[in-house]
Amino acid sequence: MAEVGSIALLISLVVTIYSIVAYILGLKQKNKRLLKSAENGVFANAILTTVASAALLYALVTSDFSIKYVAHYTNFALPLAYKISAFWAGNSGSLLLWYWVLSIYAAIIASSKKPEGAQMRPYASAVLMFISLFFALVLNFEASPFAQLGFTPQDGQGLNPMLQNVGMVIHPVTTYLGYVGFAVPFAFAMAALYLKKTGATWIKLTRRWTLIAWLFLSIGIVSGGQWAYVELGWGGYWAWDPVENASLLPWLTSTAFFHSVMIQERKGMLKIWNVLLIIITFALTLFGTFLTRSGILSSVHAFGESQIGLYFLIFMGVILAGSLNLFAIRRKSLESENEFESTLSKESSFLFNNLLLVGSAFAVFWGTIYPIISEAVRGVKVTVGPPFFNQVNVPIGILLVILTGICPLIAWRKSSWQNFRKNFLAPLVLSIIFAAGIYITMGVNEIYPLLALTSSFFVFLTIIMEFYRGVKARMKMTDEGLMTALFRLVSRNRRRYGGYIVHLAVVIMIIGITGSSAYKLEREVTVNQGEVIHFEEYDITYHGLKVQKDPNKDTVYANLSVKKNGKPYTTLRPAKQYFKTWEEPVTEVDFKSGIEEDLYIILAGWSDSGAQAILKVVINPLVSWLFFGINILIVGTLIAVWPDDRQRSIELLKEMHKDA
Amino acid sequence: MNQKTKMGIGILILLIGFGYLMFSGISSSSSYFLTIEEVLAQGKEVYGKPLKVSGLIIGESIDWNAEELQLNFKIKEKDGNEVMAVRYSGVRPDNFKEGVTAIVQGTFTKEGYFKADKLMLKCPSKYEEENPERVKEAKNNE
Repeated sequence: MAEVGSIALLISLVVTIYSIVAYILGLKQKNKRLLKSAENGVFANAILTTVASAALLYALVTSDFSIKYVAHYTNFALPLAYKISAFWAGNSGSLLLWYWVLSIYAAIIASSKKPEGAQMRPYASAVLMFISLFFALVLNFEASPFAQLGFTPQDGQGLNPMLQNVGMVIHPVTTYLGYVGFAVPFAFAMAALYLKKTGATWIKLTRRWTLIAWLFLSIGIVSGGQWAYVELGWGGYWAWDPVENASLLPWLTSTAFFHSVMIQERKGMLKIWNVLLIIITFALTLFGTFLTRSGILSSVHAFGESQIGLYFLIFMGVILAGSLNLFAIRRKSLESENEFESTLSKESSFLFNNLLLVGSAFAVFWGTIYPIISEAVRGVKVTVGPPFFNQVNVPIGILLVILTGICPLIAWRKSSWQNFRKNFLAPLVLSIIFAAGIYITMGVNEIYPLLALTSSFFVFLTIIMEFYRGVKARMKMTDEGLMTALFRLVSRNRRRYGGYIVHLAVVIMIIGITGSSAYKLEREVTVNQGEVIHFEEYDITYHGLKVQKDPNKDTVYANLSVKKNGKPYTTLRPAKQYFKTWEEPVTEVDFKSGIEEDLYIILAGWSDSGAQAILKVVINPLVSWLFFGINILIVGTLIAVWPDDRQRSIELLKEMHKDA
Repeated sequence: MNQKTKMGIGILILLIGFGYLMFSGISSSSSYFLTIEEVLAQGKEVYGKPLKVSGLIIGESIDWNAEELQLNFKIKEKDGNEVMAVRYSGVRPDNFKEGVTAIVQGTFTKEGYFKADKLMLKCPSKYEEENPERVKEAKNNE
């Protein structure tokens, strides 16, 4: 199988180069047949990368340990699901995954028959194939997943136990799907720039790609946090680790991007800004990979230092140089068609939303690379701690939430104060009552949590109001029942109401983040067998240690029974696992999740006899809201991207007319 | 006042606030990476400053009190003689033993020991070749 895989990769490299050359010549000579042939190269490449990926999967599933990658990341005893997920457990496998997805995306683009994109498509395809070329080179010459060991070991080394978790199956794939997805809007932006078609056609063509990429990246970030929460055993889900930051950066800039492109669609403004945002977003997806693979900053992700990081840095340089150069040449074609008419308008609220998102991205970027800069410039090695990131991002986050509430309710162009008052008086008053309520009854008396929760409540109210108004208007006009009216309202205005649902999800997640970061309680205790720990409303009894033997691992767990407010609540078994294939023990936390809070217990150690155990008990308020919110975000985004062909073709025809 | 000035003022206020947050934050929340020698040599200059120091654990110096959750130990430079005492209130991590590299974050005190708020281990594992940087976070005190 190794031969099949590596040969497929080699042919794929040749085909990629052929496609690029054919595209360039075909476009230059306006040779339709050559372009068609280049397109066929794109399809062939998708098939070849699929063959290579299937070969790797086959080798992983059948435990072909003559392949270094398979021997390194799996063993016979590994469950099938994790044998498959080992595909992206290491460097070269995850690069292959990236390349595979990219070539499928390229094939989808090339096979599109939409007349609106006909002119840009070959250019965009050429850009996508150029990006593919980078991966083809790295996979063939630096990090081949099919490299042979030269001998066949009895058994493989096994997958790092910490990666044997559902979160680790989902997190890398979704993050990559997100990263790769931004290549498409980037490619179309370049095509549009090159052709001087800087209207909104490229934006409309790639709107769904952008949103889907963003959705995957969102899922990737949250599932990564969830993995850290259930697997790493320190009681949290986000530590401002360089690699976490690296995934957050393109998320922030892409969020800014798909908000600001709405202004371009509506008003023909912010064209320069949008092109720059998508260039930056795409470059940041490469930057993330550079950080993970170069070992330049120490992080929980540490893939081991390798040349790959350097290659990504060089490629990022090439992409930035090329795209910014094209941008500079085409600068004139990006002039705005309109000007801001009022500070109190939808446009300006979008502008502020963008400034805040990009500001936040800049702060995260700065904090992440500050250690590198400090060492290079001053020769002083430093690390930047979470307080920096929180200090900058918490106020920005709160302002963003407030804007989320305001923006949908103010008019385009110019909103009057009168209109503003009419829309906002009720939610504002209710929010103030809400703030007073949580201040008095729940003791939320610190400024940031109070503001965060109140502004979240405010957004919630404004969204409910929007739905209420829409439904009421529909019911009046059409005599529909409540549910029918609601359903039709959403399905006839998918972008708008899908967007509101995403806002709702974000607010729910913000509430989770606020609760779990501002009101987390933790305590470390040493307990004797039979002893009870009293912690807030919980009474936790330690019944001693037990050992459970499996073929794969030995598990030592503490037997705990928990009462909440005096009533039996749950039993928890925090553990340490000793894997046969792994030297160090792995801490397996146990927790009971609830709407109000999670009770989360870590077995940190024990005395030799087992009579004493050292436990870390954590109460994480509202943390389940964060992990629940992502589901609503998925629903909202899917509604917003669900094809609405009638609407779409009308819009696109209008746009083509403008561009022509 | 026209719209452009108004927008400009709004943006300016945002930028000033942002700049303030950025630059006041970065210095107060960064810790300096120093070697054991540098810490001992600088002595009182570094008292109370946030520092990060790494060194090899000296096995016989480990004094672990499970009742009190107090871990005292000494670390030394890989190829040097300077030794620094560390006190850490928290759980003794797995694999905490002679020769393992510990990274401690905290402050150096007047009494001549390092008060660690955070303790991390760099694990020498059999997968070292693949994972030289696999840093395991033993505790996170944020």
